Amino acid sequence: MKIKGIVKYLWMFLLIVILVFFAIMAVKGREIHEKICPKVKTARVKTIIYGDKSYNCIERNCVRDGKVYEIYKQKSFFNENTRVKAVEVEILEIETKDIPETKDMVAIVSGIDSISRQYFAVVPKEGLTDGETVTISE
Amino acid sequence: MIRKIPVVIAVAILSVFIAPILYVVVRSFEGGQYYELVINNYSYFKYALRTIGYSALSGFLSVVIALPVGYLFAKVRFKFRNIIFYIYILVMLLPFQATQLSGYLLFKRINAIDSPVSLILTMSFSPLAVFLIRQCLMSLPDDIIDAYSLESKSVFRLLKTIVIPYAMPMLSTLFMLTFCATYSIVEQAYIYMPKNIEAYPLSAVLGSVREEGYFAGCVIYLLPVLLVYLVLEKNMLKGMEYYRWS
Repeated sequence: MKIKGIVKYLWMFLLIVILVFFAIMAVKGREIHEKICPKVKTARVKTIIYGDKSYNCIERNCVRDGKVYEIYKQKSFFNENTRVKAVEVEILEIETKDIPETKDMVAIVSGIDSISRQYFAVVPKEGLTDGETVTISE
Repeated sequence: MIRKIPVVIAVAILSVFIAPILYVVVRSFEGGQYYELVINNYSYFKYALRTIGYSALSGFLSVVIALPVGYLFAKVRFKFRNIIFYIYILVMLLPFQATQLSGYLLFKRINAIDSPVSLILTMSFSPLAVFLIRQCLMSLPDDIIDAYSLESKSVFRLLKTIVIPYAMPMLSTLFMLTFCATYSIVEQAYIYMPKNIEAYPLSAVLGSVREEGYFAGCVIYLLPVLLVYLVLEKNMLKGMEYYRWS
């Protein structure tokens, strides 16, 4: 088959491959995630100072005064300075989980941000301090 | 040298459009973005598949709806034909924001709020589609239709054997344009499906992808549209040649 003939069908073939991949991931994605990611992991509570306020955070999900903030660093492609950006989330639901093997307590909150994007976050319960290790399980 | 100046200007303008895409592609390869997307943002692919489904369905429906209407305006003489067509043109000029309230009330009446049906119907009924088909069919010689009418009076057979093959390039163009338009809707999803977040198209939830996989998500978002364009490119370029004022 000449090259021109192959190229004509190449895009169609790639499109079908991508659709099949999307379909497989849509069906099996959760299974793959559960196989590869650990069900139980530890994280350290970190106190982040942002502006003039301090926030208690697990990874980048932070809590202060009953509100959830997502604080993460943004790296610029062209320079090495980092910026910290906070997104405030309105809490819709709180489920408190007591991890049975330890005395850690974390709150799993679901909420929406200012443009109605959904968030699910694991945040430190009150009383946990900077440097404490918590165990998070799904 | 002077002949190369238009080429240089064209390349300079092209690079302004290409630069953001190149930036996203380059950044998608840093820090394991694709791995993060596949492992931790697995619902992304469900939304992507859903969006492709909406887009393909809207594209197909827009072709099915616009073809007979475009044929009507191009080849059938009836009273007030031109006035009705000019009203179509006027509606085509209105932005979505001007018609979103009436669209919302209409969908509420047929219980399509919070349903993907509202998105698909919004994009399927397009005055631009009718306009393009009409312009394409204006160049179809009447003699062919007259000759065919000697053999059969069926309009559906006429559409199937004469009109569709003749207008196939324009139909491909129309499918492509509607596909692209539906693929990137955001406003319509927020307005017509305020509570059914599960059924949102990917364009409306792309910002929710975590930062660690965001650029990879953007690159993968581009792929289906790019590939559909490459598949239909030849037909689309032929279709553009039919666009003329007559």
